[in-house]
Amino acid sequence: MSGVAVETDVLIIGAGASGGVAAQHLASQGIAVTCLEQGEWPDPARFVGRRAEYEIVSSPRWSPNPNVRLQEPDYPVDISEADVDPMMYNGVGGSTVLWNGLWHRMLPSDFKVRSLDGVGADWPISYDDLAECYDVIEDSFGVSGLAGDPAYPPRGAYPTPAFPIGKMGAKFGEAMNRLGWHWWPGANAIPSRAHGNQNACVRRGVCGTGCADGAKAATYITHWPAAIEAGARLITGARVREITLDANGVATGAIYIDRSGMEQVARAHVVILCANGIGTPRLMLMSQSGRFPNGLSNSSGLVGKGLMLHPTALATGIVDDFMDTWTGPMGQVANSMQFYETDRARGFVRGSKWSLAITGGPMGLASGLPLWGEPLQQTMLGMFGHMMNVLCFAEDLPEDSNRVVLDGELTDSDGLPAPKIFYRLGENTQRIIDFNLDKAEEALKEAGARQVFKTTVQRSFGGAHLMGSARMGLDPQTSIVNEWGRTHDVPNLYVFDGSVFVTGGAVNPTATICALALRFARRLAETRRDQRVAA
Amino acid sequence: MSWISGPDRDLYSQIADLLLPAFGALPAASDAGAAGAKLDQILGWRPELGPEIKRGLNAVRGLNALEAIQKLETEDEDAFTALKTLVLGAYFIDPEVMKALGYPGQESNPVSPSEDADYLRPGLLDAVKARGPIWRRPNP
Repeated sequence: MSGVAVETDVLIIGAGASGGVAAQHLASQGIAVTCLEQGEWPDPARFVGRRAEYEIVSSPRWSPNPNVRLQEPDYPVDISEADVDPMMYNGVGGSTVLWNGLWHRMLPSDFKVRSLDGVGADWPISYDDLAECYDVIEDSFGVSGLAGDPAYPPRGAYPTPAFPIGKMGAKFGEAMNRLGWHWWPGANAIPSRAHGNQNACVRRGVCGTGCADGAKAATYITHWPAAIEAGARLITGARVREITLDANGVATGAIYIDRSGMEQVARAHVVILCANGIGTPRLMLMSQSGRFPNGLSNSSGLVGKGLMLHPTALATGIVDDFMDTWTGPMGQVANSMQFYETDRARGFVRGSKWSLAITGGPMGLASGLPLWGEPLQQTMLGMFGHMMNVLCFAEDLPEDSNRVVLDGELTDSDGLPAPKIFYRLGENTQRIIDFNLDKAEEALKEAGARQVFKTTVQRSFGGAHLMGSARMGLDPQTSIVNEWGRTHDVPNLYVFDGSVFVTGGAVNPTATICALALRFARRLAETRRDQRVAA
Repeated sequence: MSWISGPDRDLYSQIADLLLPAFGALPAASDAGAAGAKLDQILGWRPELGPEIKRGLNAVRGLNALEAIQKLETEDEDAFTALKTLVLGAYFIDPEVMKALGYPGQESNPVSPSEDADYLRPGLLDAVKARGPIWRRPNP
């Protein structure tokens, strides 16, 4: 091991969504910030979305699945005991590099699930506590949307207008109106007008493989340039293997492996984990010591437990009209919250958010069909341009049996233990999915679908949202961090990413991850003089 | 190095045409160039497909194209998937195929003034708004 490579006030592990938000705010407050990121800066010139052969070249390099992508900065994930594949990206921007930008705030009821529905646990904060942070984050992400949605509390205008919904969106909306069901034009972290560092989206529809047009929000565009301008230091190719403690149980920094394979020491007054809902518990479990033999800040034994992944099902309707179902953005054309809130008469608690989405190019469709020959050709002519996809995101409840552990054999390229995830769909979740697929079929038939295909949760498209594996709460025996993201066990160790979610709601979590990171970072900056640090 | 050469290439071409035959306005795979130069180009972009395809073609040498497909589909799913991926990848970037499907590709298509805010046309969202709030307010 070489000498001390980094000395800083705040050490952030991971340069993704929460890491970018935290770094920008803390650096803007004059705090010395260093971030260690195992991946690299994305090079938009290498994104493939502008290439004619985009569909064939997007995999495996730009797959959201690290077990397919297998790039040097990725770590493998053992999924042998999981129903779905987790998705993530390791690099500056984190998973915002490859996300589709679907944007939702959580609802007020999502923060009080135990009180309202008798399951899970209540968050120690409310929607109102986060509302202003949502406003700030939405501005920094150039979110497009339409205010006035009656599924949400009143709010101000979005930074940019919602995208047109086109023929497909209108067909969906008219059908939902006839059924008397809620729908609304989709909000996306993709600006319909130029906004800050972001260009106006040109609707190329390739968001999930990286935006070569510089439009989609990703923190390598929206936050890191400003953070670095404010003085933050970002070290790429730096894979952390351990958070270090002093004899008093106070964090002193981290040991990381640099690009050349050398171990380096980073010293810091405060350490913030922003490594996502799998990477963060993995790192905590790897940081074992005499004080914490079962993993850092794990006196409760709950680190890694309660993993939630938002299993997703798909209903596809085939209509007679030909529509440009490939025109972006890839996010969501429209959404429905009709079956989001609990109605016990349905036989389950909690619910689902629907997103009406474009279907992409022909190769993606043909690859997924178990056909060849004339049946394949006939199906392509009958389906391509005629499909309406409704994605049903289900709320999965926090269950200790769904968890992240260290794998006994699998390692990353530096020999560090890979995570293994245990994840099975609970009975309540399966009921949510079955009910919502039936309802989505009803909606699509009302929209004129002559045929509807229902695809229940599949390994390949579940698991994009990594939440709950270091949950927040007021009781150290039942949670890992407090209402400000600080771990109960270590006074200067924080978790700012989706690991802290108490319950998951059924909406895409990035808005809430970023709003929480901002709230936590503000608190850390405001109370820095009272912060206990290593001697 | 080409992963597919000589007799394997002929067999590949025949397999491609069985996987994607001419149908309606859609040309057969070989007429869309899926067995020509694009083949090597795509294998250059997707080198991980090469060994799977080589293994698959080795296993079906001497069979006719239909027998080859049936054998791979039942006995070596990975090789069959790689082969199908290669054929599809070459096929769907062909201009005639794209034209037959009405697909222009993932092109730049900025929002035009004529379609901007189409969701605001009278009547479309009025019913949603008229039903009022549907979110639950937790007790304080």
